[in-house]
Amino acid sequence: MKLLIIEDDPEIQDSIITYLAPEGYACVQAFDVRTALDMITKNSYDCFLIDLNLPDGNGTEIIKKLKKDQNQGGIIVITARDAIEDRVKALEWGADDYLVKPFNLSELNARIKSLIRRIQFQGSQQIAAGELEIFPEYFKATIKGKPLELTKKEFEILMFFVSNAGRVIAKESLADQLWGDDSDFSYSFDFVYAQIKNLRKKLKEAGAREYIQTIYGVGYKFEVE
Amino acid sequence: MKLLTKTTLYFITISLFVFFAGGLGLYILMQNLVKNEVDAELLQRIHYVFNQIDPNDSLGPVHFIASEPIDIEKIHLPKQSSTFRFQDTVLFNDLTKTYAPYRELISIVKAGPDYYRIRIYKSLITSNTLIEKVALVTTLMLMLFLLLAYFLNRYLFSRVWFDFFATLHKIQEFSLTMPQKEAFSASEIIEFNELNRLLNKMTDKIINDYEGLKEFTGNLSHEVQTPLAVIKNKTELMMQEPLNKQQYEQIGSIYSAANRLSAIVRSLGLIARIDNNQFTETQPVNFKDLILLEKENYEPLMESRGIKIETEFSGQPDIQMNKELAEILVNNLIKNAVRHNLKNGFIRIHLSKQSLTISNSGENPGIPTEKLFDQFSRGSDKGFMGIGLSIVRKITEHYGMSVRYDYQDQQHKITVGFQPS
Repeated sequence: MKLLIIEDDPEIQDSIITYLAPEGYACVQAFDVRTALDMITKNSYDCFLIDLNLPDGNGTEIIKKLKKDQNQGGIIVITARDAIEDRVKALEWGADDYLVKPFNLSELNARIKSLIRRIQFQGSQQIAAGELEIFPEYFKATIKGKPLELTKKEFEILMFFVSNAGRVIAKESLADQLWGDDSDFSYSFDFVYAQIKNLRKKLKEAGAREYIQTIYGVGYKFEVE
Repeated sequence: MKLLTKTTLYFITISLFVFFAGGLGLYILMQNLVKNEVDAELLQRIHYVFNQIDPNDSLGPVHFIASEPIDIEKIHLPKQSSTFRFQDTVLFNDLTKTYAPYRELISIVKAGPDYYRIRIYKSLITSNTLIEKVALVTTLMLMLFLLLAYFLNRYLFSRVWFDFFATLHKIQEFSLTMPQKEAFSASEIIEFNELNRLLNKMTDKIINDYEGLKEFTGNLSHEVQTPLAVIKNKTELMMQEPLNKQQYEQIGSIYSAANRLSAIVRSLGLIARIDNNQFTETQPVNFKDLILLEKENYEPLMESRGIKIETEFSGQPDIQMNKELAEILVNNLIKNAVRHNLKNGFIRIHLSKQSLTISNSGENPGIPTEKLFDQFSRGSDKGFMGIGLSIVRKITEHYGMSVRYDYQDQQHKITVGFQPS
């Protein structure tokens, strides 16, 4: 799995690469439009992370070039612009996903995985995590073959946990996941706590091990091993 | 009090005072004039009487020379040889059976060996009538003058102050959302011209400052996100390291603070974008669907807190709005009602053609409800940024809608009126 990360801030580049390292991707960096355009003609990548504001131009040039070349790689736009029209525009140009800076690395990780799944398996992949099996296409999950009755939100959380298995996930990231992009982000985490409580209960009732650990002061960790 | 009312009141008060004092003065003056005239005539007559008296004879012919009453009385010893004394008196008129005012001149005269006191009179009836007539005419003239002055004053007032009222109107119209530079035009009147010039200077400064502030907030919310992304991402990486409890807590605090900061600047950025008219695309908005969507979104949270929600749709507003702003509006209102609610509380949403009302149970906010629309004002409920309602107000202002917040007996009620207030 080859990823091209086009982002001018070296710190952000570095963070993304460090976080994605355990996933086993081959990450390649580009810091401006010119280098990126050069690289995409010479090599092929499975996924592109593209910042829109680059020192020598706009990231949209790269998206347009990729689309023109009928490149099959997935495109995730990362940008500080949070207006819905910017998002709509990026998707219209051919981006597959859109993340607003400052994003959570866990969120980026989940999005990349979901995008790769969509491209490589047309989404019809089942994900196994311990006794759990997840069918993203149908929003279904089973424990030892027994189906779990989950609400949409609970399924989303479970999916997010599984995508970031073994990682510490801040409660803010989960709140982001649940509330969506919110102009007035809540730091009262009632909703998160309520959802996690329900999810834990349902997993326990289905006879699963205790997958969700609480990391005091930070958030949670979904541990399969 | 209106300027015109005030000046008119002054005008009338002063006029009445001058009028009264002048009338009184005139009356006294005229009375004196008449008295002098009457006295002079009486003197003339008494001298005539004296001349008619034969020093050797008695007062024989005197009775017949006066057309008006005359009293002659013999006295013994005069205190003074000859005196003239004037006084006012009344005499009974046999014909009309009434008392009438008279001026009386008393004098003492020696005829032969005897002394006589002579009283001659002059009727004041005609003079008094004259004074009355003159007073009446004067009064009428003064009233006419007063009336004329009043209307003239009104007319001149509207002429002279015309530019001033034009200025006042423009100040009322002034709005930062649609700023107009050099809005105050020149006036013929130096003072008003100066006023307009200063107002132009002031509004230009306000507009410039406001533009600057908008640009600053816009840039800030944008530029701050990249360093914030670095902080957030590095913190997230640190979380993955094996840490002790205390370190986890510290990392959690940093992450939480970075998220808050990011949310704040993002909200400010949103407000700046509304101010900058960057939400130009509008479309008919289906508020019912929006409400149902948000309701579904918050259902799990409401369930977990035992909050009952009731919705009532009696109509749909016919309104063109930006879709994103409409979503933010409804989301912020419902979120606000969910968050600041009580355990096992309630939320009631009522949508009609004219308004959207969201009431919910909740604690006393502890500050005047209007203040809750201010940025970073959170009332007694700590732990929230207090920016959601200021965004609500910004959006409603942007579309000329009204919004009000009422609190009574643990019940909060926010009403958005879709028609311009």
